[in-house]
Parts: sequence; C-alpha cells; structure tokens
Amino acid sequence: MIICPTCQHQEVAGALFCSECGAQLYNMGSLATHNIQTNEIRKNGFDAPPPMRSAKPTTGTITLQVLDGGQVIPLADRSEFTMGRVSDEQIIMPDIDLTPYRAYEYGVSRLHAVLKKKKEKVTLMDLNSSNGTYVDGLRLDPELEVSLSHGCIISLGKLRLQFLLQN
Amino acid sequence: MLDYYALLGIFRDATQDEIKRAYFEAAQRLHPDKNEAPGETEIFLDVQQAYDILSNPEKRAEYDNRLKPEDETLSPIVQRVFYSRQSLVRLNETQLIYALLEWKPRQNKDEVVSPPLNICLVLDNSTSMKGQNIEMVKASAIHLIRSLRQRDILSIVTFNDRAKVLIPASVDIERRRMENQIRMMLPSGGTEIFQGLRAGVAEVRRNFSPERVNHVVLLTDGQTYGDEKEALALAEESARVGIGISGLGIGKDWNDDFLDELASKAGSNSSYIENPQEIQDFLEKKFKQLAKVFAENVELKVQPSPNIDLSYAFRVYPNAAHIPVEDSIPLGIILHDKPLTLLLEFRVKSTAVLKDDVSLLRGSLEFEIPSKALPNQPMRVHIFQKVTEKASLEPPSPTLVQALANLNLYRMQETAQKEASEGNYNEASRRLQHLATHLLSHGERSMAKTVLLEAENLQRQQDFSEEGRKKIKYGTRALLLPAGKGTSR
Repeated sequence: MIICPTCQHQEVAGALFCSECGAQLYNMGSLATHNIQTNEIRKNGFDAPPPMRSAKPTTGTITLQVLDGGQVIPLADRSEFTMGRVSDEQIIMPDIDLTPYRAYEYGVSRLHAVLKKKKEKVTLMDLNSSNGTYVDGLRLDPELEVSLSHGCIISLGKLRLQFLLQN
Repeated sequence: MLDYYALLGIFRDATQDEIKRAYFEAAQRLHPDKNEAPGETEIFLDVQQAYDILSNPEKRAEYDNRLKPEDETLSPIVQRVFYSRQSLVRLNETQLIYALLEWKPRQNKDEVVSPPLNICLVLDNSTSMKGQNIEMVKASAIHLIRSLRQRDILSIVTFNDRAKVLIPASVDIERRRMENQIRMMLPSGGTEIFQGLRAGVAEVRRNFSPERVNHVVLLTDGQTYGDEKEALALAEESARVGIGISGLGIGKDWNDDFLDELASKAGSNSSYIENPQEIQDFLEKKFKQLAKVFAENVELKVQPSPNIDLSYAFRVYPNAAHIPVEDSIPLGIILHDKPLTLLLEFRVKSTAVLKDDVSLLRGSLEFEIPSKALPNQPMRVHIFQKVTEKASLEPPSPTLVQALANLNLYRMQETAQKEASEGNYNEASRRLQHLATHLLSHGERSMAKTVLLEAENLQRQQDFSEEGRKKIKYGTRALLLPAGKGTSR
C-alpha cells in the first residue's frame, strides 16, 4: 500500500500516479528500499540511531547536515523554510542561507527549494532551480512536493545535505 | 520445405480444431472461384496439401520431424515491451504493474508497399449540417477525390433518415461527375446513423479485398435515436470481415460514447472537432494514415489468468483510445512508420507472486498484412516479470512514465465523468480542480481553464456543458499523441 503524500489517498503498491489527485508517486514509493550512507553520520560523532527509512509521521525536530563539511544546520521553530543563497541584487531572501557552505560553487540557486514542516510529515519542493533538487539521487519535478524521511540525502545542485529527524 | 503452419497462420502446437478453422478460412479466401490475383490458385493447392498433412496425426508427426525449428521463422512484426518496474515484489497484497507494448514491422519502412485504399465516406446530411458544416464537408470531399491514387477506391454515402449512395464504389474514377454529385448535397431530415453505416459498409464490401485497406469514415454532428444497438452489431460484424470504422463528431451535439464504442469495436476511435474548418484537416490525416497501413485487423487474444487482472488497456498510438478489456482486444492497424503502442495495467494478486516468475499476459497477436495474400502466422505474446523479495531500485522506463503521466490526466476526467453521472457532483468537481492543476503544470493553460469552468458548472448546475465535456475528453486524449498532433489544440 502506498499513501499519496498530497491527498493521503491509499494506492495499490506499484502505482505510479495517485488515482485521486493525480500526483506522481513513483520517486518516493514506500516499496523501494534505499541504501543510505551512515558513515558520514558516525564520522562526525553524530550519535543517531541506525538510520531507518520510514514513512511514519513524526513530530520531532528536524536538522540538515552538510555531508561534505559535517556542519549541522538547525532549523528553528517555523513551519516553512526556503533554501538558497543570498546575493546582492536580490529582494526575496531565503530563510536558510547556504552561502557559508560554498553554495555558489555547488550550483545552488538563489531560491532553490522549500522545506515544509507539516503536521504529519516534512516535504520538500523544488522552486524551479537551475541545477535541480534531488532526493536520494532522484530528481524532483519542479513545484511538486515530496515527503522526506529520516536519513534521506537531499542534493541542491551538487550541495548534499542529509535530512535528520529527532523525536 | 514449405512451412505449412505459417501458411495456414497457426502455431506449431495448434489443435485439430484450430487447423480445421484456419484451413476453412484460407480456403474461402483463396478459392479459385473467388480470387482474381495471379498465382493464388497455386497457393490454394498448397493450402490443401497443408491441410491433408496436418489433419492426419501420423503424417503430421512425420512432417513435424522434418520441419526446421520454430525460432528460425521470423514473424513480420517485432515486439518491444517496457515495464513500470523491473521486478514484482513478494507482497501479501495486490500490486500494480504497467507494461507498454510496441509492435512494428520488421521491414524497413522504405521497403513497405503502401496498399491501395477502399474507403467509404459516410456523411451526415441532416438539417443540422446546413451552412458551414456541409460546405466544409463538400470542399473536403472534393479535395480528397483529387488526391486519390490510381488504384484507390472511394465511395460516398450520405444519410439523414435514410441513406443514399452518392458515389458508388468503383475502380474507375470519374472525377468530374463525382465532384458534381458532391456539390448537389442538400441537407434535410434527421440523423439515423445505422442507415448510413449499413450502406457504407455495403459499398466497402462490394470491392472488399484483403490486399486493400478497407475502411469506413463516419462524419456526423448529431445524436442517433434508437438504432445504436444495430449499429454496434454492424460494427462488430464489419470488424470480423476486416473493415475498420473511424468516427468524426462535429460540434457539441453528437454522442461521443456511442461513436467511441462503435469505432473501438472496429479497431479505431472517434475524433472531435469544434470548427468545421478542421474537417478537411481531419480527413486528410485519416487518408494519409490509412495509406501507411502495414498490418490491419490486428487483434490481441488474451488467455485469462486467475491471479492476474488486466484492469485497463489504452491504445496510445495510432488512434488513441481507451479499449475495453476482453479476451480478444481489437487493436486496428499497424502503420509502417511508427509502432502500434498499447499501455496495459495489471493488478497482480498476492497469490501470483509465490513463484519466481509471473506471467502477466499470455496470448497471441493476430493480424493481416494487405501486401501479402497469405494468412499470417499469429505472433505469440508472452509478458512476464520476475519476483524478488525487495523492490528493484531501477527507475521505471521514461517512455512509459511519460505515457502514463498523460494517461493519468485522461483517466482523471474519465473518473470525473463517471462520478458526475452517478450524481457525485462535489467529488467530480474536486477531481476536475486537481486535473486543472496538473494541466497548468504541463503548460496547458487554455485546457486548464475549460476544466475549471466545468468544475464550476458541476457545482452550480450539477452537470457538465456538452461542449466543455467533449473538449476535456478529447483534449486530454490529444495530450497522449506525439507533440503537435493533438486535434483540439
């Protein structure tokens, strides 16, 4: 059984599109077992429980960890975060500025993606970025929300972040 | 040594019944009293010889021993399959898998001879056609007559309450007389499709030949009353003898469900046009398509399987249409320049994935090739997928995802229409709003607007507008066609 992230409709395993709202399901199918890299977490002394990919709703705090540097970006108590990099001639600023993490070099757009904390899940949506947003290596369609689960790797262009959920 | 199985168009493991049936069919077609083509009498004698041997178990066994293995005989059609998943998962619940099947000629397209046409235009000549509609029909018909090739046959039937053969089917084309006949068409009376269809099919049958593309094109702008059943039965009968039927509806008042069903029984589809200006374009495309036919009367025979439910079938190309799933699925034609593409949805029950391999579909593809007088050996179709404990990580084939994404939109409007007809207006309206969102993200602004308008209509008047409903149906269907070929854009 797959639950559609957009409308919570139940779909038969293997469905590629939600029959209720038409949302695309296939790049986050709960059927798929993903291997996630755990060595980076351990190396940086992050004492997380063995990461398990679970589609269960969670209510904990969320953090992003930069994979290439190990820095942890805590996410304050808000429900929506736009991610990108600050540049001079820009009016709209991203909530999370990734400039310190060599965002420009890695091809992060000024407004790259948005992370939304909802009641039951956390979602990510690409904001028509130039170099694309990837979750576990799969490119997201622009302006289409997908659910995130603990341990998944988000790539904004080439900047890789690991998404962590703590209860 | 002659392959008698191929000659009769049957498999090597055919039963005596199948051999008998194939023999009768071939004999009827090739009987010296009937056929005109040179050389066919020799083939007829071969067919008899084939039957003599294959119907006798002893002679057949001896013949089988001398026959070269089957895989050395090549089918004239090649098949390609794309799957939505590279494996099924051993799950304790029902799961879905999609397969996109493609069939195309083995020969290069330059080597294929384009077959002569035997087409009847069945034109609605009722009062409602008056004005621009009939004028455009006349102009288009005259245009077609001028473009006919040497061996093509075109007949024209007009109908209102009754049918009239305006131009009888004939190999000799008298262009000027035909054009004058067309100019004299004068609309009056009601719309009785069965009358027109019957006369049209009769015209095509007069010159029926397996070497031609035999087809009826029906043009109408109105509802037919009370004769739907007879018309559908006639379509089925035509399909059996090898005559295809396509429909074209003009404006908003015709019955698309009926015309679709009629055409799908005969392996084609119905199309919708808003403006009479598009009539000529439609007819020209239709004729061009029919002149590119490589195989016709293509039919997929499916052996039912208890654990697998073939739950949805959609022909993506040519003549996009949702096809009702039966044991025998009429698919129409294979063109020589582009594969026949069929998208299938399978519901796999948990009892099916206990083994390591699952047969999703077993059956055969039957077809006739106009450029060959002989019956063709059907092609075996067997689609299967392995079963694994864990899901494979390979992404689905992009070709399939693309087709499915567009089909998804078509199915949403299908569901919305069903919901509306059952009285669930709120659900239908909500679904249309979802559909509009997706259309917008596909860049289909004007269609999204039409969809939103209908969502409103459903809320307010508890009904679709006829025009909007057709626009949405044929518009979303057109999204499935290769870019730029949509009929409603």
